[in-house]
Amino acid sequence: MVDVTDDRFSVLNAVWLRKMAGQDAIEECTGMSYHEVGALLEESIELGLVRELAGQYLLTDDGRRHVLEYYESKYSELRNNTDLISWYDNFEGINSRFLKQVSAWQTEVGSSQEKAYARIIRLVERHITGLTEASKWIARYGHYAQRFRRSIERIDAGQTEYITSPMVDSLHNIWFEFHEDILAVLGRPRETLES
Amino acid sequence: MRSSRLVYSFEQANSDDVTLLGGKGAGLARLVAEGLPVPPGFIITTEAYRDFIKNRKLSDALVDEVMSQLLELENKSGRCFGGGTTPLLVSVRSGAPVSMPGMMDTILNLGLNMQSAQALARATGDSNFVFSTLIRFHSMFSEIVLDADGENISEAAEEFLRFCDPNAEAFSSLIRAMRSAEEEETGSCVPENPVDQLHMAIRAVFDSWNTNRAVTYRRHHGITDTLGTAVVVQAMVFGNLGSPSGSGVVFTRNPTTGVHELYGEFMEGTQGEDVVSGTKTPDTISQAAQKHPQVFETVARLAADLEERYSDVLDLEFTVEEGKLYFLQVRSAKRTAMAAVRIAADFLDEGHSSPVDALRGITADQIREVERPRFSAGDIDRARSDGKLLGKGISASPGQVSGMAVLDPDRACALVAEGKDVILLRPTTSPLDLHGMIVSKGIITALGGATSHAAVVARALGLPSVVGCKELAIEADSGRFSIDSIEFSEGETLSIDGSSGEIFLGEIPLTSSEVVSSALDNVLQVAREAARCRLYGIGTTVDKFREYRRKEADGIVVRMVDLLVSNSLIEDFETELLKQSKRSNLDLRCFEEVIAELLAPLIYESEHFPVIVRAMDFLGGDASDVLDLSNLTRCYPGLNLPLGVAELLRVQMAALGRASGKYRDHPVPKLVFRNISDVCEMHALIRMAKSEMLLPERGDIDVGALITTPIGAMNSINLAKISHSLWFDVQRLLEGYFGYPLGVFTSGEPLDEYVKLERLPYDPRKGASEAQRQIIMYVNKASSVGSHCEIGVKLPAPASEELVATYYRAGVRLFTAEAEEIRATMFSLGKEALLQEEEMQAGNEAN
Repeated sequence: MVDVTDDRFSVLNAVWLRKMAGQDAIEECTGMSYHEVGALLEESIELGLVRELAGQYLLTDDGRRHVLEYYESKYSELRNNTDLISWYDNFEGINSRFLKQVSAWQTEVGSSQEKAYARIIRLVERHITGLTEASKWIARYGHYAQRFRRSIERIDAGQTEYITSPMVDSLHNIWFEFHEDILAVLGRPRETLES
Repeated sequence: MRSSRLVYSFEQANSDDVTLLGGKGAGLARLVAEGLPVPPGFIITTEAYRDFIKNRKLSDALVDEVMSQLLELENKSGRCFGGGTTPLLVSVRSGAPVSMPGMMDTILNLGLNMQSAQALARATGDSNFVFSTLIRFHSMFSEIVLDADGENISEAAEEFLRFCDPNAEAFSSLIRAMRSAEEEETGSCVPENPVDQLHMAIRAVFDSWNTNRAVTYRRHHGITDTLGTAVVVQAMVFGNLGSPSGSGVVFTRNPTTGVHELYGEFMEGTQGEDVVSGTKTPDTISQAAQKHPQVFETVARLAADLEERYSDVLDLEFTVEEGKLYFLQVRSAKRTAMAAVRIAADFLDEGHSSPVDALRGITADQIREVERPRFSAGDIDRARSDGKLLGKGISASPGQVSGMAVLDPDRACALVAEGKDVILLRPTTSPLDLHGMIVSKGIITALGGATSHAAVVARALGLPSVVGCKELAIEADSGRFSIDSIEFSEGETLSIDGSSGEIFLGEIPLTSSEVVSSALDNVLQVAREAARCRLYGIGTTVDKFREYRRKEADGIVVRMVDLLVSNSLIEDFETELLKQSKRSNLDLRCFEEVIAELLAPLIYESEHFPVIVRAMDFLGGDASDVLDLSNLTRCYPGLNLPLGVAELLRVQMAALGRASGKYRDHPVPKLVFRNISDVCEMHALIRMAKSEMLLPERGDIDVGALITTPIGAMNSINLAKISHSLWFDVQRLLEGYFGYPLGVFTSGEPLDEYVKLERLPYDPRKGASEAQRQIIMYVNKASSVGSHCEIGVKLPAPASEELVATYYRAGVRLFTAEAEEIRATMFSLGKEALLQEEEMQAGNEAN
C-alpha cells in the first residue's frame, strides 16, 4: 500500500478531476509550483499511479483507486457533517441555475444573453462566497474560489471564452471540476471504485 | 457655488451629451425628442455622481433636485409615489456612458410598500400579481442594494405564501416576512418609505461604479475612473390594467431569417420587462394584431418609421397600458449571420439605406458564417421520406454535418489523423472525451439535456450536436451501437442536424443556401464596387479558378510547390535531386515539360483571369512543410539560400516559358520569388527569366518579389525600382521581426495571454500595432517609387476586419488571400472604403 500524502493527493486529484491534464493545468488546479508538481508527478509515475501520454498525465487504475480510497478515508467523517450536507444541498440548487444560465448565454441573443451573463456572474460570485466558507472543511476549496475570480477578471477584460470554452480555465470547466470534487467528498462520485 | 444642475427630465436633457447622461439616459432622451411615447422619467447625471463622491453622500442640493423631479413625475403621470389610487412605481437603472461589468443593473417597481401594494391590488384587481411583484421587488432590491441572495428572499416569501390566506392583510404580512429574512441575512431591509428606497437605490448605483470588477474592466479598457455613472429613474407602466394591456417585444424584421416582417411576441395582461416566463404562452405579433388592430397598427407604423430613421433593424420593447402604447427600449437588433446578410441586401434593394449603413450591419465573421455550407431542405425531406431518419434527440448546438460514427475519443483522433470526418457518439461526455470532441465534426450523446457537459462544450467549440438521444445505445467495447433498436457498427456514416436534433443514416451533401447566396452576391457586389481593390486567391487547380471566379476574385496565385505536391511530383523531384547529388552540374531539364503541362490549363484560363506564379524555393515554409529537407540540404547546401541552386529556379522559369508558349494569345503569368532581400538577387532573377523563358516576342517578363524578411522590407524601395511587383507577406514579416515560430501568429494562444499580461505592449496581429506600422511604413515607401511596380499585401488567414481596414487605410489596393477568405476579405475592404468615404463627407460638412 502506497502512502498517499495530502500533497500527492492534490496532484492525483487534479488529474482525476480533469481525467487528463498537462502539468500547467495541474499547477493551475492545485496552486502548487512547477517544481512541486513536477517532483510529485515523477514520484507518482514511479509508483505506477500516473502515466504520461504526449505531455498529458492520466491516472492508472491503481492511481484511480488511490484517489477514491483517499476520499473514502479522509472524508468519511465529513460525510455525516450536517452543515456540509446542507451547504451541498444549497450548492445543487445553484448548480442547476448555473447550468441553465450558461446554456442561455450560449443560445440567446441580445438582452436575454446579457441577462444570462449577469446571472452567471452573480451565481459564480455567490459560489465564491460559498467556497470560501466551505474551505474551513476542505482547504483546497479556497483555491477554486481563486480560479473563479481569475476567470471572471478575464471575462471582464473581454475574453468571453472564459465563460464556457473547454480549452481554457473557463467558469464551466472549473464548475464541472468542483462538482466532481464535492460528489467524491460526499461519497457519491459519478465514477465509483467498482467501475 | 454650484454652476450646473444635476438632474434632468427626459424632455430637458440634450440627447447628444452621452458623457453627462450615460448611454441609457441619452437613448431615452433621444426617443422623447423624436416624439415617441416613452414613460416619463428623469436622469441623475454623471455630474451628480461626482457631487456624490465629493460629499461622500447624496448632497442636499442633489436630494432637492431629485425630489422636485419626482414631484414633476407624479404630476405627469397623475399618480402618487408610494400611495394614491394608482401608485407611482419607478424603475431605477444605472446608466454609465459605457456599459461595464459589475455595474448595478435594474430595480423595478421601486416604491412598493404596504400602502402602495394595497392600492395596486385595487387598481389591477389582481392580488396574485401584487404578490409576485412584491416578491420580485424585494429580491431585486435585496440582491442589488443589500447584497443578499435574492433567491433566499423569494424562497422565504414562497414559503410564507404557502401557509397564508391571501387577503388584504396578507401584503403587510408578506412584506414583514421578507423583511425579517432580509434582516437575518444582511442586518438591514427594504425600507417602508419609498423615498428612502429611492435614495438607497441611487447610492447603490453610484457605489457600483467602484466595485472591483468595474474598476478592473476600466483599467483594461483605458476608461477613466472619473467618468462616473448616471442613474435613470422612470415611471413604471402597467401592462396588466384594463384591456387592451400587455407587454411585448418586436423586431422590425425577423432576426433569425432576415425576412421583412414584424416579428416578436405580445403577452396580454403582463406588466412588461419583468415577465415571468413559462406561465402563459405569448401571442405572436400577428395574432396580437388581429385582437387589437388599432394598437398594433400604431406599433407597425412607428416601427417602420424608426427603422428608417435609424437605418437599422431594431429591437423594441413596449408595453400597452389600457390601450396606450409605450416604448421602453429601442436598440439595434442582434441578428444571425444569415439575417444580417439578407437584411443588408434588402436594405440596398429597397433603397432606403445607403451602402455604408447596409454594410455596417454585417461583420466579416458573419460573411464567413453564411458561406459555411448546409444540408438543403430538399435533401433533408428526401432523407426523411427514404426512411433514413434514425432518431431524434435534443438539439444542443446548431449546424449540419455528415461523418463516420466513432464510439471512442482515442479512435476519433486516430481516424481524423487519417483524414476522416468523424461524428463522436458517447453515452455522455466528460473532460476525458475532450480530445476526441475537439477533432470531431459533430457529437451525439445518449444521455443528458441541453445543459449537459456535451451540450455546453459542443456550443463552445461551435460543433453541431444532438444530445440525450434516448433511442441510442452504445457498446463501445464491441464497437457496436444501435438507434431505435437498429444495429450498426462503428464506421457507419451518419448525418446530424444540430438544429432539429435529427440523426440520419448516410451522407447528406452540403450546399450553400440559395436564399443567402443571392443576398451575399448583392452585398459583395456593393463591397467590390466601393473597394476598388484587386484581390487574388491562392490555389492550384482549374476548379479553384472557377471557384474564385464565382467568388469574384480578381486573379489567382499559383504556388509552384502546391502544384507539385497536389500532382504527387514533389517526391520525384526530391528523388532526382538526391540521385544527382554526386554530379557536378545539377540538371533538372527532365521536369520542364511535366511542369509545363501542369501549368498549361491554368494559362489557358488566364485569358480572363490574371495568374501569378509563385516560384518554389526550399527555405522555411512552402517545401519544408512537405519534405524532409535535412537530407537535401546536406547534399545541396545552396538550397538554404534563395538563389543558392540556380537550376531549381531555372527549371521553373523554363517550364513557365514552355507553357506560355502553348497559348500565344494568352497573357504570360507574372512570376514572383519569395525571400528576396536585395536588388542583386532581383537583377539576377530578371536576367535569368529573360534568357530562360524564351519568349522574346512577348516583351518584358513580369518579375516580382514576395517580401518575407525584415531586410527585404528595408530594401523595398530599391527592390521596387527594378521589380514589376512587390508583395509583403504580413505573417512572415512578423515571424522575421519577432523570431517567434509562424504558428504563434496564426493561432490565439499563447500570444493572447502574452499580450494580456502586457509582456508586449500591443498585439502584433492587430493593424494598430507597432509591428504592422513598420510593415506599412515600408509598403508606403515602396509605393512611392512609381506605378511601374505594383505593391500588394499577402494577408494572413483569417484576416480580421481591423487588419484589412488598416492596410486599406494605408492606401494598399492589391491583396492576396486564401480561398475561403476571399469573400470575407472583399467585404472588409468594401466596408472600410464606405466608412472612409462617410468620414470624409462628415469632415467636409463640418468644414
